[in-house]
Amino acid sequence: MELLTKLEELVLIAVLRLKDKAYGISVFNYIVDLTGKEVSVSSVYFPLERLVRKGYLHTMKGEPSPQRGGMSKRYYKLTKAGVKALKENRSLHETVWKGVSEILKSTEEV
Amino acid sequence: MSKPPKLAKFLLKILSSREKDEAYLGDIEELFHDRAKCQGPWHSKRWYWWEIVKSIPRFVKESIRWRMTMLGNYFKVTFRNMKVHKGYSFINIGGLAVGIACCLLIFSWARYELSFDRFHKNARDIYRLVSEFHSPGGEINYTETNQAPLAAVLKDKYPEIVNSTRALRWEWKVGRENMQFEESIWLVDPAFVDMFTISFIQGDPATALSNPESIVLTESLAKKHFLNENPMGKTVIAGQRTPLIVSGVIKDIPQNSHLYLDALMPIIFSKKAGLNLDEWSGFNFMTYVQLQKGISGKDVEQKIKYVLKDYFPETTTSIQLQPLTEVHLYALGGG
Repeated sequence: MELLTKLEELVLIAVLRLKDKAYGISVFNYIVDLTGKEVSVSSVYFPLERLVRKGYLHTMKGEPSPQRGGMSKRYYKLTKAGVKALKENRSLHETVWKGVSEILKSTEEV
Repeated sequence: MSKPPKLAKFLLKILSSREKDEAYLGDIEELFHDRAKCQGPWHSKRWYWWEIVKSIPRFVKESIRWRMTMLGNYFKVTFRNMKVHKGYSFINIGGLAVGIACCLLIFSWARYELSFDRFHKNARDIYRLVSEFHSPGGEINYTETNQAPLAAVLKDKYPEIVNSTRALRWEWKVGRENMQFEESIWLVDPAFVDMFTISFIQGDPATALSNPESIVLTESLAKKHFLNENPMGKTVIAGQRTPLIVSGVIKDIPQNSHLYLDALMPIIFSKKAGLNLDEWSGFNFMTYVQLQKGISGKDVEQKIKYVLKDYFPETTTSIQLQPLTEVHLYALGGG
């Protein structure tokens, strides 16, 4: 099982949350709202394409709209493999972080 | 609704090769509109430009990769096709190849033939004298040879004629002791080396042809008989027992010239062979004239056509000028 980078993880979750409305901009906006960080469009775009290459996402073509100057959208959806990867990453995360919160709390007091 | 900068959009659009590129462009545009609402058109336009510029290297790389892939695919299909239709492909491609090769050859050859004598600096102003004979039986003959005094007469009499020279073509045995070969020697007036573009490697062009018993060798002839020795001042034997002093060495005459000769000698030497250079009786000498720059050959030809009548009132012979560049390709006469 491959480790997902933080950004990839974020992106996958965003796609999951956005269900049918996940495309470049919506994912971008979601992440900006969530993290408060001003990431650039490309820094969302690269992980999206990487995940497609890895097989965790698959794409669909959407309707063109005047707001986009007549260009169509590219929608992303999680694949089975993508879901599995997320689940595995989550369990790994839980394993790794088990008991760490307590340690962090105790070092704070010192 | 303000629009995103056209140039930037166009730039990226032409580099877009796949669907996701278009989607990216659309995303950027959407963001542009959002920003335009918040920050105003000027800021959002700047942002747009900046995003585009950032993405250009990526797009260029992808575009190249994509086009190369397509090219590779075309090749694959081509070779696959050829394998399946071997015979037809062979005939088709082979025929094309032969046709193109022939075309190139013909073109090269034609160009070569047409390039004769064009390298001379004065090529456009040099003409060969052609004499038109009317024989008593009514026939008209043309000859490239003329009388001996004609060259000098033309030069003196007509200001349009700037220079003139005669030439004799001899095939003569030349060489050193016991090593003689038949070479093509031209006997010429000293003006010959001025009119035509002849480069002297050794010797002085002004004086090389003053001594009647001297000879000017071309580079290859000098190498042939003298190898690496300096031939200047040395003696070669011509004919049976005629010694000649080497007074100059010239660069070989290029092959695309009708002056293809191996050596030059002064024309006065021909006196020893019995030719009289002041007589009007014989038609033995090729004659070339050089006109003033820019003057039309036809005009001068009209002027000098019947010059012989000044000396021989009953003659029916007239003179024509043949341009140097036509000498190789065209027959004498006409006009």
